[in-house]
Amino acid sequence: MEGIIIFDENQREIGTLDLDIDVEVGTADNVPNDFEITTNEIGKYNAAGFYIDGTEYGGFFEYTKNVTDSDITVFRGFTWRGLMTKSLILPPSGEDYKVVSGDANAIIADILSNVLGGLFTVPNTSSGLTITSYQFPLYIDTMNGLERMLEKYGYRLSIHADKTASGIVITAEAVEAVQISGTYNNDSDVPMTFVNDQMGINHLLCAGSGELQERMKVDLYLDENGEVSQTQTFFGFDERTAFYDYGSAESEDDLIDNGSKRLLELASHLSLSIDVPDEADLDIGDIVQGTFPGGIVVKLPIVRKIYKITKGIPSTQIKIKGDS
Amino acid sequence: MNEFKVTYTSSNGKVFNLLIFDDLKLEKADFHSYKWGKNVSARQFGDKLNYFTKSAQTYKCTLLLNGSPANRRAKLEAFTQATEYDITHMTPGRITWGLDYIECYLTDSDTKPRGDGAAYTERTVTAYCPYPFWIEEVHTLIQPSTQGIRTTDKKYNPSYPYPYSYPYAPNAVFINVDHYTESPFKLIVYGPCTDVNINISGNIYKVDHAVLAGQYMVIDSRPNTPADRKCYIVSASGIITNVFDYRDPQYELLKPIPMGDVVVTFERTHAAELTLYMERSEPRWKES
Repeated sequence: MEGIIIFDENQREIGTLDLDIDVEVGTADNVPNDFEITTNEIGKYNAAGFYIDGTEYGGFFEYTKNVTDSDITVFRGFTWRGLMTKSLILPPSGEDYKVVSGDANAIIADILSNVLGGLFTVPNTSSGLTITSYQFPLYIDTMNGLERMLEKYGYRLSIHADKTASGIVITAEAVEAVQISGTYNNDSDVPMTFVNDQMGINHLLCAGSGELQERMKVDLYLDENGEVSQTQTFFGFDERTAFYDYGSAESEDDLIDNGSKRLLELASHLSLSIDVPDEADLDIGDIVQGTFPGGIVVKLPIVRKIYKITKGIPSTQIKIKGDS
Repeated sequence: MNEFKVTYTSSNGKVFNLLIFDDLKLEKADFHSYKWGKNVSARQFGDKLNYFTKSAQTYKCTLLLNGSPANRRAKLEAFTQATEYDITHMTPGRITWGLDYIECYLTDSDTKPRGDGAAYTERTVTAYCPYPFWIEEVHTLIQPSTQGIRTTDKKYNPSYPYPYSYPYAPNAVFINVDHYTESPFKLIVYGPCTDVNINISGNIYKVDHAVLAGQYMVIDSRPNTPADRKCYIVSASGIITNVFDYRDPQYELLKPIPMGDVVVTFERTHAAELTLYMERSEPRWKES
């Protein structure tokens, strides 16, 4: 590991720099998958981007910000993962959905072959995972599409940039997700926090278009299995009700669709968070399993990773689904 | 033994001897004071130590000057021009104490007469050292084996008594590094050779680029070295070519050199020169 390496427009290495950086990657909706570097150093070298060898931390400088009376520049850009989100998986012509089968790496190679001019390389070796008739959601971005496909099989996408004789190569491949486990009252190498939040809503009164008594209304209920329906399950003290104002609902189906999502957000839930040591080798898509009091087991993927170097000190923060 | 010296050398090469009144005698300084910062997480019992830090160092120094008023004025003017050159060019000067030096800028200055009848002129300066370490350089020149297996670490510091080196095997040289931690380094490989492939205590410093006769390659791991001067070739006519991209990624090209016993192994058909920059919080106390 040589630290932060800057490279030129031909993806040839220039050298190393001692920089503070802020990188955020992940699959959660609000993760930007970008980086930011504030420095007066990079401008001296005509650099096109940076990377950290063997990691997914890197990308091209696609945004700069300068102010008068200062030679400090803010450099931003998408990470390799972020660049992968800037293309979509489309159904083949004449078909409704993109459906794939075969070795995971072969599928990834096929999908990435036309992405960003072939920026990504996929090993032509078997991943050990065979996909059977996986149907991608319509118009999903490439990164999230591939991650969702692999998550279904306990795999994840490994993205890393590496130095080779021909330049810097950005690789994307399927690897088996690592799983770490913890129990609420036991010591663990990775400290976990177990939250059992039973203060949630189980009845959502949803209101759509219209006025007063004419307004479109739907009552949505959550049952004991966490399923949303229009049948009430909890009564009396156990019933917890809230109002959902969705005046722009185009139809009752639209109101039910969005109301269901909202109810699940407001529902009682179990959640996990982890305090990962910097040396822990965990990546986006790896699985955290926590055993709650009463033996309830929750398995959630890592969906956000924040890597920073501040005053020369690296640190990593990891968030799992529901804690991001 | 070399004569103990204390000097200020500006970045444009002006040298001031800080041990004689005719120049600028150093009366008082605190070069042997330092402080490490601590990053900790508080615990029920004490702290969990995460890492140490070190801020930029400043030293307040008192300099005295005697001699005729005209000489004093001339010396002060020369000193001001030298130290202000460093500031305005943002290229540090260097305070040397014995065998050690630290890079600095003289950011604060105050001058006044001192003593009966102004027998002396006193100048108080503050040395600001962005990189808060004193450096002690140790050089080892390894000749091609065809020219004998003699090696030396005394090219620049002939009196330096403790780091030593000697042939260890036909293609290996042993160096004893008298330090308490690993060190940044500069490795110069003189051509001709088809590539650079030098094993230093198990790590291979490998660059897949030929060095022609009359050329030399420099690998410089020091933290403040510009990015495009970490690994480069200098031609016979002085043209510099960045060859960092030819490093072999299987190995760490800039890995610091460990302390203690170090073995350097390579095909000694060409010469190489290893300079260690042993970083210290204060100048060495050992008599020089």
